Amino acid sequence: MNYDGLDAQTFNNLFIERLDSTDGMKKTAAAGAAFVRSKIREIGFARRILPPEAVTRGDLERSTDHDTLIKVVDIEHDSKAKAVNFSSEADERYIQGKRYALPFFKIESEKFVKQEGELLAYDYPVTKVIEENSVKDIQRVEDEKFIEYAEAAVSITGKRIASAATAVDRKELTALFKMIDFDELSVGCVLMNTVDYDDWLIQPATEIGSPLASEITSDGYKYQTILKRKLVVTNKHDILLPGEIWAFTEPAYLGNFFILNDVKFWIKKEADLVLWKTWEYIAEGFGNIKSAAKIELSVPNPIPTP
Amino acid sequence: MTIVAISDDRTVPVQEDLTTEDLKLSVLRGFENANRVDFRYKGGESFEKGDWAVLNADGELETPGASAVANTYLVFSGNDRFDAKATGQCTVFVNSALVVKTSKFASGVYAPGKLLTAKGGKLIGLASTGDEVFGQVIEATADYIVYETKGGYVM
Repeated sequence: MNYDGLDAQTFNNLFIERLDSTDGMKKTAAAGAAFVRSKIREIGFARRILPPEAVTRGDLERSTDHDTLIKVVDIEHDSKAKAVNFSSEADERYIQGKRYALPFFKIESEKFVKQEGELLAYDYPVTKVIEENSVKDIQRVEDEKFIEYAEAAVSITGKRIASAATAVDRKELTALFKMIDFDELSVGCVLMNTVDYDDWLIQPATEIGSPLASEITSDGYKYQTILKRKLVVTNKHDILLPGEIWAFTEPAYLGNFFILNDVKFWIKKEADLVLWKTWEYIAEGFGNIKSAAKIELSVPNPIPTP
Repeated sequence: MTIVAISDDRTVPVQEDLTTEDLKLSVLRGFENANRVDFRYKGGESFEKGDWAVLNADGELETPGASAVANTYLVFSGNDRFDAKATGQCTVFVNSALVVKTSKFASGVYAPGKLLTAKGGKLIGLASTGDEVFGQVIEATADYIVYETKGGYVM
């Protein structure tokens, strides 16, 4: 959306005027939805690790017992070959596939309410409020659930190392990667938070070589990969604690992330009150629980105790 | 309890490694010429693939009793499936020479050559003198055994 030529207060005023007509409300809701879709894709780290796929009602399964929806996804079937004599033959395999189910649930922002006169008192556009209060809340929940499911996976597989190291380095990362590599998988992505990423920046030249150390010192770490794996950094320290670094496979070996229809944006003007909220229906999870691994470093609290 | 539904363990968050081989029953040899026959299962009975079931006088499948009897069959598909719910039947192998791999065996010390029977439960187990023999061990591990089926003679 382009607001060139309009200051924030003018925009807010036009926003309220549009809400006074049915046609204007439809246009405003549509514009809000477009804005929300774009920002969510950019922000959530779960979406960068496991890109979402749009599905419709026709792709999903119902239950006989209640009114919620799931999507059933196949797990790739195993196969083998063996060396045999000319006169012999290999084993038979009657294919018996496995599947897993992803239940859909709703993530919804708070319902924001504002008196139209007070809305005019803001020096920033209403869309900023929508962005800050709706979009971030939704993407945060996606990320929370993603980490929750990752924790569930490593609690079963045991792919969780507690390390005495106080900062991330190549040795710690390779220890993390080995847990994925051992299962004939490959690490596609590394997830860490900004505190650990800061530690990555201070590795000495004796470890990473003088040219790279000099480059980092002047320009920071400019690369999108780390040890050839995609690097995802988040500042959500309440979801991903300092010292917790995750490795995930490529999405094809990991799981699924589905969005039913699209993000919904609702807005309404009732007398002098403006109300709006945003929600979506998603399902995400790991079909292959061996595709996630975690290392927990003994990182000191980045903020000294007062 | 018979499970004919979406498994909780296979619903996110998944509680099971779905990439591992299902060892309940794999037919390694003989499937092409195997005789697969459906029989109704007795009310309250539940069977999974790899179990053994007795065909009783009513023509229904039930759990093997304390003594092994000749009319005992290997279950190929149990009533833990949607189709069995609809038909009221399980599928068993009848008069079929098979080599099967299974994790469904009673506790015991297995080794190649050991004779197998099915009594006192649905799992195949070690045969004793006088038992009907239904199989002979080819390979034994902690997780599974491989056996050839042997129907129709008393040990």
